[in-house]
Amino acid sequence: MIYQIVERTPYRLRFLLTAEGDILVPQCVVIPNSDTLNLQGDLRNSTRAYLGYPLANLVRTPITVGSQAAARRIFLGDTLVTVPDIEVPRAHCKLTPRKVTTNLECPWAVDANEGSNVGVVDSTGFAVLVVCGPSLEGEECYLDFYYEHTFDR
Amino acid sequence: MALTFSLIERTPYRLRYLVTAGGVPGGVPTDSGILVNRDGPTPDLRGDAKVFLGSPIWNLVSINPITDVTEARRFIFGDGLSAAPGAVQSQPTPLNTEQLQVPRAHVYITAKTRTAGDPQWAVDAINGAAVDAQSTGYVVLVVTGSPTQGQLAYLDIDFQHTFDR
Repeated sequence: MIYQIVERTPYRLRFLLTAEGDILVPQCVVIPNSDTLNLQGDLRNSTRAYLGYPLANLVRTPITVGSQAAARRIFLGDTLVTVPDIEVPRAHCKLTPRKVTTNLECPWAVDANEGSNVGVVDSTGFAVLVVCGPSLEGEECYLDFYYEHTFDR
Repeated sequence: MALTFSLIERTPYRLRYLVTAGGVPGGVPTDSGILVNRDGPTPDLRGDAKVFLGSPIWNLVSINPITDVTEARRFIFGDGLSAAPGAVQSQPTPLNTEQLQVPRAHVYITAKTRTAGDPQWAVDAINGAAVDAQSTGYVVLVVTGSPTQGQLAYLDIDFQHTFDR
């Protein structure tokens, strides 16, 4: 699966995900969060242009090594349900398929995890995104990763 | 039968439609429908936004001319509005501030019902001339989804009117 950034603001990264392959087996890819990999699409690398802005601060927030719960909390707002939690910085992710050609492919899904949990050593102690989807060549989907910074939404 | 659209929510910044599958016999995997932009009766992007004449959502769907799919996606998906990936910004202000100011929408599609064997719902933007002659010069939306009669999804066209989102 290929991912590329198609839109970037101080509060949002929008990726275009493109499936590769020709067999109906799910594919997964990790969008890393590293200062050393210098990869296009890497979360810290991609927000470097907006250092000091909320999304850049959020992806640079260190989390407990091995804690998927902490990664989901800051990247998906997962388990932030008590009254004090509305002030906790967090992001939300949304998937919007752009192209689908068959009813047999695996649906798109996104999760968050801690970097070392998914084998990305350079992202140890930071949250990463894990996207799974079809492996049918040409299927496409937008992934929105955006900072949820106001209570008025 | 194609997918059909009915307007269910409208603000100066958003159009929300309920997409209904009309059903396609013969075991085809998907069905599709076009949300046109003819400045006509609902469902129609300009026609539905016209009650808020001059509003951001009306201005956006009225952008003309839209001549190719790249332009259509730029305004309706924000696709293509990005600084060069990986560029290092050494100054405190954001790179490409001009692109931050380009009006754009974001479109989301959310399944409301789904039955076994249904495909995922998908939405794309395209220049009207490619799929609907009366929408030439304007953006239209093409939705792909269930061939099973009665299946439903919500389609949101959400004007992205602040950098704070």
